[in-house]
Amino acid sequence: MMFKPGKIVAICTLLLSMQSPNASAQDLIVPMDESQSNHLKAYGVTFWVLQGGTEVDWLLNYRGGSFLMPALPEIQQELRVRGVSFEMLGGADAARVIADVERDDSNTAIIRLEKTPRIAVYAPKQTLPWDDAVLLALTYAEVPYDVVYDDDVMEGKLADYDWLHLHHEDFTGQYGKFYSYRSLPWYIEQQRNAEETARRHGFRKVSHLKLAVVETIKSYVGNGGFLFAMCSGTDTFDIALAAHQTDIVPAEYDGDPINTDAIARLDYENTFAFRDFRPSFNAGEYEHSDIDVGPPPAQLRNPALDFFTLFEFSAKWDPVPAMLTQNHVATVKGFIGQTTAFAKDKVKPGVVVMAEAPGRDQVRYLHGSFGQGTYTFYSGHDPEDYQHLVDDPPTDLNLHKKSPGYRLILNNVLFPAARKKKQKT
Amino acid sequence: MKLTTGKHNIKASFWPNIGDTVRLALLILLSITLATTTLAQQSDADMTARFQLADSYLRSGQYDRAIPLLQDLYRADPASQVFFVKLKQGFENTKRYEEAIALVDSRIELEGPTAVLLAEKGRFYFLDDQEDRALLTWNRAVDTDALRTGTYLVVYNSMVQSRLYVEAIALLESGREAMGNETLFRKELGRLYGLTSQPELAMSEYLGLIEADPRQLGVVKSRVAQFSSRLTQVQKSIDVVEDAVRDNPLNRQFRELLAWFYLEADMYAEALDVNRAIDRMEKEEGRVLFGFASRALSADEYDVALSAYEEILERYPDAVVTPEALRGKGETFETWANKSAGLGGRRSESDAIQKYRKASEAYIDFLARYPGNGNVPYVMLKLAGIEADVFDEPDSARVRLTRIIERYPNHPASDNASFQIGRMHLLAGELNEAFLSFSRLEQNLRIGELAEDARFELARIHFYRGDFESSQSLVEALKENTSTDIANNAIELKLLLIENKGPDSLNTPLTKFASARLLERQRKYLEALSVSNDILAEYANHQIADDTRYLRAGALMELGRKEEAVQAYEEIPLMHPQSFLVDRSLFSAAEIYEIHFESIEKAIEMYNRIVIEHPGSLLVSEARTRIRLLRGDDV
Repeated sequence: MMFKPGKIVAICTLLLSMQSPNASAQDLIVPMDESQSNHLKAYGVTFWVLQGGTEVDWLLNYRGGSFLMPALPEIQQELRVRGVSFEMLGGADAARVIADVERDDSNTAIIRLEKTPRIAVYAPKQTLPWDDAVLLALTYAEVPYDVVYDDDVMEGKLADYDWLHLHHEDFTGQYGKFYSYRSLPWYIEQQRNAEETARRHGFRKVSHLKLAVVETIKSYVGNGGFLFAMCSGTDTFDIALAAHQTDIVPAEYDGDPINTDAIARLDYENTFAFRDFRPSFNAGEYEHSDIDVGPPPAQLRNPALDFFTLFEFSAKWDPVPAMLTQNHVATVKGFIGQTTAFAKDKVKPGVVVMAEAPGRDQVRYLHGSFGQGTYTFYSGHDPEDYQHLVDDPPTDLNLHKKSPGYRLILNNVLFPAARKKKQKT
Repeated sequence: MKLTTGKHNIKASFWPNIGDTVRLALLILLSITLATTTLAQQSDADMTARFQLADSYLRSGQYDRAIPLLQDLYRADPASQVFFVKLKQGFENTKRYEEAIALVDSRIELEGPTAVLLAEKGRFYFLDDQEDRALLTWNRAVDTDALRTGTYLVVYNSMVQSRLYVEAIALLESGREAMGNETLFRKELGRLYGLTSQPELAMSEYLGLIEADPRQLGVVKSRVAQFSSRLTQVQKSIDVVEDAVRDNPLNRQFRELLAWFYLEADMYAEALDVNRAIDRMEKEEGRVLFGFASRALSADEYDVALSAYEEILERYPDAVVTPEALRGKGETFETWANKSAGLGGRRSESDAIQKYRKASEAYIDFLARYPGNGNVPYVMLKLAGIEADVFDEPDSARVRLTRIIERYPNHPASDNASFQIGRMHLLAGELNEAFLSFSRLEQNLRIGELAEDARFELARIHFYRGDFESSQSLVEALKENTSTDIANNAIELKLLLIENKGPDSLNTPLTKFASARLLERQRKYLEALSVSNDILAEYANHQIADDTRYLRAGALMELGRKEEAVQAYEEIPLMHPQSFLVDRSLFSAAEIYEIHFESIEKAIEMYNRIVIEHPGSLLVSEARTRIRLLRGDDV
């Protein structure tokens, strides 16, 4: 059978477009490398495009994890209005980019994003004198979310969401171990609210309520939910799970002492990411356990010296950690939190370490799966405020539009939007 | 028998006239007593040592070692309070609540059922998850002496330790009833009601406390601040305090508390009423009102501040604070006018003018009524500023400023007055006089913000005169000091000078443009427009044309010719697409469409052009925000 040249071109084009996930006549690319003027808003626009029912291709490891989308006028307008850089691509250019990304010899891949995740942020209704980096990131990027808290979790509302975020939370029932602030109104209100909620749900102690909350969240993840936690939302989550058979809360917080055999009764099998840790039983110590290595010593506590490096994963074979580590830099500025970094020897085998502080045996960013869902833990409080203190003003992300640290948070927001594929590994 | 040694002599004197048998018996008895005492002393030392050991075990958390030792000690001496307390602590720390309860019971057997012991027993029941028995035991504790305040306080402490606030409230209320005294436990109940989110009841208690002892106001404020972190709670507290004030109109502390609550809730108008009442009631002659007015002014609550100042002026014309109130009134109007003027739009412009007029009236009144007041130079300076900048009355402003310099040469306001006089000369076209004023000031001061301002004015005067070299050398120095506000203006002037010279040796177009700038500054917009038109007619292709068009558009706007102004701004991107004024022109056009023509679509179009065509412009961020606000986004 003979084909006329015109027909051959047409068939080739058709084949190419079939191979190319999203190469339409006119596309645009939102570069996420150094040329991008506002990385954080780029996530928000991508989310907005997905909300409108238009699919987006996430080009992993291509120009910092760029987004490819149709060059519809309203999308262009939104990108401009939100200050996000983009480049127009003709049909052939887009096909070339896709072909480039899909080359076998390059560590790049295309992930089709097709549906926006329903996002819940676990946070109290009460205003507390510190800020939540994820709420800041989502608000700045204009990604919609709902705030849920203990009542919602206990009432089974997590089932309405695909993605759950935890930030500066204390699941051990020790109110963040802010004992020195105990006479301040916000602390009193926090304690009162927690006690009332515990009683409402039939628990005598806040630690019992919080354990029920973490067990519920654990089930949510087991059933396919995505969990992202930062700062003390990470280690206290696992500490609470490990302490499900004992009392590790000093009397200053719950009125009765810890169990004397508390250490022996910790159940590390019940945790997500950490093992063999030892909780701190000192009510006055602003530390929950030795999972956290704490801030660098005073003489080394210098933002200019503190950094961590992101691991590079195979975009084609390990798409999930690859998605979570998309960035325009390989080295990210360090930042302190109540939980600053995880001790490497406390991380369970099988957990994927995605970033660590070089030469310090400290893990900054990790990922794992449980049941049908996944969890991601990111240490530190605010990626753009080296040492965020109580009553500090919130970080103005207009001044940190290209923040690599905040990008890691937003990678987690888009990750649940990815089309489910069979795991290659 | 004869005793010869001194020792025996002593014995002899000690045992006078006693028979040998008796003497022997006594000796044996003494020996036994001494031996017993020694044994007892040895036993005490042993117990002390064992107790110290047990205590150190307890402190180091080695309860398994501490408790058996303490049990032994307590068995040996059940009356000992210290053994009891430490053993109880050991049981509690190891959550051996049943044994703790048994221990307390043993003590009760010894001492009887005291309120302290029963309260403690109740607490252990609670810790042991036996809430019902805990409550029964606490009731028993109360029954030991239900007519003694201390009994209730002991049980209250146990309940609060167990964080049983509701039950503690019931306890103290029952105590009041039993003793027939409604004024008992006010502090405790206030705290408990606060902790249980019942601000109304908490306030009732605290008001009672203040009524009994007015010195408690500070304590109450600090207590209330702990639970009033939410506006709803503040509102509820306000309702209660309002009632209290109504019922006790002569209680100053109640009113002070109410005013404090109003300020916490940003209810300045209501706070004014309360402060007014306190002022009258306490015959403060406006002092309370004046302090409040200053606070309201700082919080930008202009109308409330004005009401307070006016109240002082009307009610206390001869009070100590009256002159300052009059000055405050002027300052409030002036600050308010500045804010209104900054909002843009015709309505806000006329509104601002009215406020400036009232500020001016207040200042004039101040100067007439209080000529000897120490703040006269400042008030004169402020008045002159309004006269010159708002009402276009340079002559009267100049007279006033000259008076400051002549009458108060050493006052800090005098330097500012000199600067303003320079400006007056400039506005009147008296460039030589202006130059002289600024030169003197600059030489007198040498350093500081005012000196820098004077230096920049000198550079501008050189520019207006067409002496571009001198102007440039001055702005070169000024732009180096980037910490000053005028550095940006200096850079802009420098660029204008560098880019727009020629085409002839006299730099005619730039010279004409400089004169147009001076006319614009002198608010001679019609003349500035005329000169701009001349420049454009003669030098349409000169690089100064874009600046001229921009100046022309601004003059048209000032003359109220808004349609022509917007057209002029829109011409700039067409005629001078490479000009650095393009984005500013688009922005100005967009603002006219948005604010004056209320044409959202056209405004968005203009702002969009900045975003699309000038992505590097400093105005892009603001343009984006305006677009989003105009299209109704929640930003």
